[in-house]
Amino acid sequence: MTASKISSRSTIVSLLIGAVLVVLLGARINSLENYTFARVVQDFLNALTLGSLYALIALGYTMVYGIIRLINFAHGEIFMLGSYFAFYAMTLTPLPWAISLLVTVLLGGTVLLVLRSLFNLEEPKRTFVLSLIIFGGTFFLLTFRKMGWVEGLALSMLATGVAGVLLEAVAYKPLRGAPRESMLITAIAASFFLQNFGQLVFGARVRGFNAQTILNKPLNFHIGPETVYFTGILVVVPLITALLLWVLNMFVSRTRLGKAMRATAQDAEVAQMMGVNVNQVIALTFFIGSILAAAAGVMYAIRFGQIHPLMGLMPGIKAFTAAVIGGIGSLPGAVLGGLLLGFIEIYVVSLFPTLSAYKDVFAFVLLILILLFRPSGLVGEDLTEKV
Amino acid sequence: MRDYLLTLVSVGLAALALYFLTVSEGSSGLLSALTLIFIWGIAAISLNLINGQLGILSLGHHGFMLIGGYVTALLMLPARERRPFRTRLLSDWARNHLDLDKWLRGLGLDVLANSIDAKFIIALFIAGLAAALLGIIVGAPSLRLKGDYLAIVTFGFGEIVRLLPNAPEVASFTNGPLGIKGIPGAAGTIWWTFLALLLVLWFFSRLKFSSYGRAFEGIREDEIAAEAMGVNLAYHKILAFTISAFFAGVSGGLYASYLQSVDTQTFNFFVTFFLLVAISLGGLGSITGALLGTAIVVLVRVYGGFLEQPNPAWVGYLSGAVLMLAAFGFSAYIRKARRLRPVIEPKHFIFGAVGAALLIVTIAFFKQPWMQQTVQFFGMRKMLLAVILILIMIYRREGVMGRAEFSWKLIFGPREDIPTDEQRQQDAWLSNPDLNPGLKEEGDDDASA
Amino acid sequence: MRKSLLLAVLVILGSFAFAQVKIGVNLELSGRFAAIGNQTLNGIKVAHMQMPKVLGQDVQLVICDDETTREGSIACAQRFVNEGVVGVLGAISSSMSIPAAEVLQDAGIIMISTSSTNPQTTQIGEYIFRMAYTDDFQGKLAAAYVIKDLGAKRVAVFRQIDDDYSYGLAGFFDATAKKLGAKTLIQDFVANTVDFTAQLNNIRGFKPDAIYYSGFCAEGAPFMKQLREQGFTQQVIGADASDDPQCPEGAGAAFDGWIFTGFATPNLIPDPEAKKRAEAFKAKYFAAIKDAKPGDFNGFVLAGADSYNVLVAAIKKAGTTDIKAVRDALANMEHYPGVSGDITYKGTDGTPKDRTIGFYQYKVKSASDWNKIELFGKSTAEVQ
Repeated sequence: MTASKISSRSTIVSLLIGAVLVVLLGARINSLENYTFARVVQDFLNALTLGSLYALIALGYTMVYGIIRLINFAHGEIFMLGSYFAFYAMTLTPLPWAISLLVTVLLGGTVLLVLRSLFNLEEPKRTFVLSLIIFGGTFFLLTFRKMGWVEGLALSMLATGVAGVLLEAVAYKPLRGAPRESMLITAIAASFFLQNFGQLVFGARVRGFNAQTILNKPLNFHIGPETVYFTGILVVVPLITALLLWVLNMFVSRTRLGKAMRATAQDAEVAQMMGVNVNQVIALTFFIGSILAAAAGVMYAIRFGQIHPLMGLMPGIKAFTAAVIGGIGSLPGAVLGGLLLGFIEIYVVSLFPTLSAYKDVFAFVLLILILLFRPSGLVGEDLTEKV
Repeated sequence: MRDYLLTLVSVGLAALALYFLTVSEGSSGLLSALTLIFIWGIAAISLNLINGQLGILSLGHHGFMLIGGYVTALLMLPARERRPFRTRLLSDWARNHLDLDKWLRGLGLDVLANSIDAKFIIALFIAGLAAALLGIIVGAPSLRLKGDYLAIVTFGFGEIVRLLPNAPEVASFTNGPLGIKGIPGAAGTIWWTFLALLLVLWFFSRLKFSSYGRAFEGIREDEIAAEAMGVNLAYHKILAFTISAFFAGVSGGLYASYLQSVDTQTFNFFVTFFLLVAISLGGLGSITGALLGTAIVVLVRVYGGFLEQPNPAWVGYLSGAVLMLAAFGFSAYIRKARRLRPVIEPKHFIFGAVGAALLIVTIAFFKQPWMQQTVQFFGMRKMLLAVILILIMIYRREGVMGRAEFSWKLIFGPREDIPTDEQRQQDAWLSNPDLNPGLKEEGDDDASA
Repeated sequence: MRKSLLLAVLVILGSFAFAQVKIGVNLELSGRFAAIGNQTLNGIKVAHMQMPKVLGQDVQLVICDDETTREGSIACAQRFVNEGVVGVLGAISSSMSIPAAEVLQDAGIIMISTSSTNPQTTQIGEYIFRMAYTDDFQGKLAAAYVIKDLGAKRVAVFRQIDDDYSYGLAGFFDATAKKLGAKTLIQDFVANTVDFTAQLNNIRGFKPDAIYYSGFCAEGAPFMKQLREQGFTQQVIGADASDDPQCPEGAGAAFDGWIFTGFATPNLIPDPEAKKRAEAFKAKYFAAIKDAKPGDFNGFVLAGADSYNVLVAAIKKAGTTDIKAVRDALANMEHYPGVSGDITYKGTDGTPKDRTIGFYQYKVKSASDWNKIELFGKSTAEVQ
């Protein structure tokens, strides 16, 4: 969304800091016994997975902030909704055909309406084909087989995207033009609403998310005498994240709608004057951000095996911290921030076991430091208006 | 003069009413609700100073309250003689040195050391000071940052303070995540909180109508103009944070005494959210509004329990359907009355559609077992609070009172919409051409110069 | 003015006409302990169905959900003080029971915690009772089993640091284990932890022979999953909080083989008369609760039922609903024939004498296909 202008002075400073850190870490690794190369690899894989999940959620935060300068506190709850939609898709199917029909009509209808408005699909032929795919596909999936994690993921992404668009339409759109503090307060209220709505509708119990897939089979390999224990999910998550990032990048840089998004992020008024439908772009931003959060939600659920309505709180805050660290408003910044935060979390706890109680405190301290001393983040541009 | 008398009389009446409540049976529910209103009211008024009067969104208030609560707990705890085993919670250092009794006796103030009330006042004061220290630290970034970035920084501070007592290094003071239990509830908590609230109301109303208050509001309206007029931004901002934090700490201490225990979960972000709803509902920038909003919100929280009773599931579906359809109908009615087009907005149509769908589902599947089973409606009160806040933000951002304050003029003052006799006479004189030769009549305008 | 006076008089008269004995129920019905809370509630409800009246008046259960938070528990306790209940049943966990006990002791209302096992709960005052054994027994028994019967010399202990029950129990286990000559390493975690990589890394070098987990299922399920994924094959022993369907449902096949100590089910109760009563109650339970799965019935249900039974029996014995008299009757109760065993409060601080602790093992094929095997039961009287 924003160009990354890194001044040469700050680059040198960051490189110096990085070098010092590497030396310190090396010394620490040497001093620890039992810290074999296998452990390094193990931690690396764990950190990569966790970082990718944070990156996916952080992208949603950063995209919304880039366009309407709103910190969408409710994004963590979108993440939670994603896991729950997939959970219900996987456990409730196959549905009896009457209920399946009802759900298809309701869900499919909503999805169709939203997609039409998002992607300018006014042509009857395109609409007909799309509706055929959506209705037919949904009905087929719901009625005839028990959904596996892939179908669950796809359905959940679609449904959560729509949920994100609805959230924006109901809670944020009426406040366009209001002072930013009001929008922030509304976002916080929306977050609490969704949390408790989730508790009401999904039940406050923790639910087990058992994907029963190849992802959970152990794929251990040996490095020397030690074993590295990991399951398929540790490979799949970074791969899916990379795929989604690539698709997103293509979309933002190559398509017309993507260009419209970038224009709106730079200056909404001028973009509107140039003929961009700003409402549509904002709705599209929420749609894409929610899709990514849903993907993160499903993969998080598979990785840790359980979901509950309040699961979005901490990952949401951490992902937001990641977005700020990387540079809020910048897509590569969000990814960088997410990976960085994941690595810091895993490695600090691994190398300094006594500090594990402070795991969450780190994220907040980093957040405050970055906001105070480099509000533009590591990759973002200099935001003089903030200071 | 009349205003002072009226205020005194009403305070006296309120105190009398409270006294009757304390001695009458079966009113302990109302009493504890009132105590909560007073405690949260103090916290809300202190938050209102920053969010409302100064215009800076601060989301870290729960941190100040937590510090106040823990400091009060630590200072009051050794005074508890009834439960000797409790002192095992604190490390020896804390038990031997962090003892208010000892300090007072050391200073020769034995008479104070023997009175639990005096100790409570001192403990609250020290708690407020500790929170004020944190307030200075949290206020410092406000000099560099603005708007939502600053809000996030305050949120970060609030969360850091919330997580700190869990750390192993300070666990010997704070008993780690288990929290401190068995804090003596100060004798007659309702009176303590009532007095504290009166003090807070007096202090903040004096502050609001003083030069400091005007400076705060000037900073809220336009910082640069205020600075140009000679308002020292740094001094006033940090002052506001410090004062707000002090009273938040006091309120935290009162809450700790009310609950008779503290732990990090008691003062989590939901507390700040709760206070935000209270002051937004009442009116950002108004002290009366903060108190009013707190009263409403606390009553919802205390008496809303009936919303969360176990009921058959169809009750939930039916009430959801009724609410949605009512909202849809209401919005359509308002739009028709105000002659807005289109009468049925697409967004509101969704509410109607969902409501109708829920109704159909309720009727169609009424006999099904999953409709008839009893379900507990968790989280209804919090959801209600969130919905209230969203509705306020969308439809009436200034809340109930806006920035206005309560004053006796509203009740007893002269009515400014009805003309007084004097005004009537003057109007008659002005509009009577005989008495007022210079008056121009209608139609007599061609010759005007 | 006159109309409202009339109304008030009618209401007051009316309340006398519908005089009821109110019993408060303060349970964790939502949140992390919701499964155990609901099991206990079912036990109370079935017992209420068996004995709906006392002293000629109806018994009304006032149910309050403390949402698995201390604040919620205090709010429930205060609500019961206002409503004028004779006694309160609950809470389940010690963390929620202790704050409620403070409030109820000060107000002079009886409290019977159905399953709080931390010794501090009943030490708060003479109005506070419990239906469970205490953790000093549970910890000692578990340690003896792990070290003597399983032969473990090195035990890793996982405790939840922000919960009184888990923290206390781990302490008792650790003390006994050290006394029996084993080496222990304690690892801490907090509520809602899903990522145990840090703790598992720490015990890798310790090479434990067995692992003791004193926490709840909300964290236990991901803990077990990650434990097995990371290649730890040791036997894991848990405590009564793991007697919760959320564990096998959350962890799936990884939970297979988990042994835990818990509240006694009918088969493990040594006294044959008590066993008969328990079996009879079990039959009534499954008749009364529709869609009850076999895994839903456990010692918590029996504990809930007995809490109710014992309170009602005390009211009957006292012959009045005056709380002080009822409390005295309860405190002097001896050999009450409960469905969870013989209950004696006389001479104790509120903890019944000679409770039975059962040992169970989970056999889990998948998250939807699991059950518990009863291994054996031990009475607290046997433990020194």
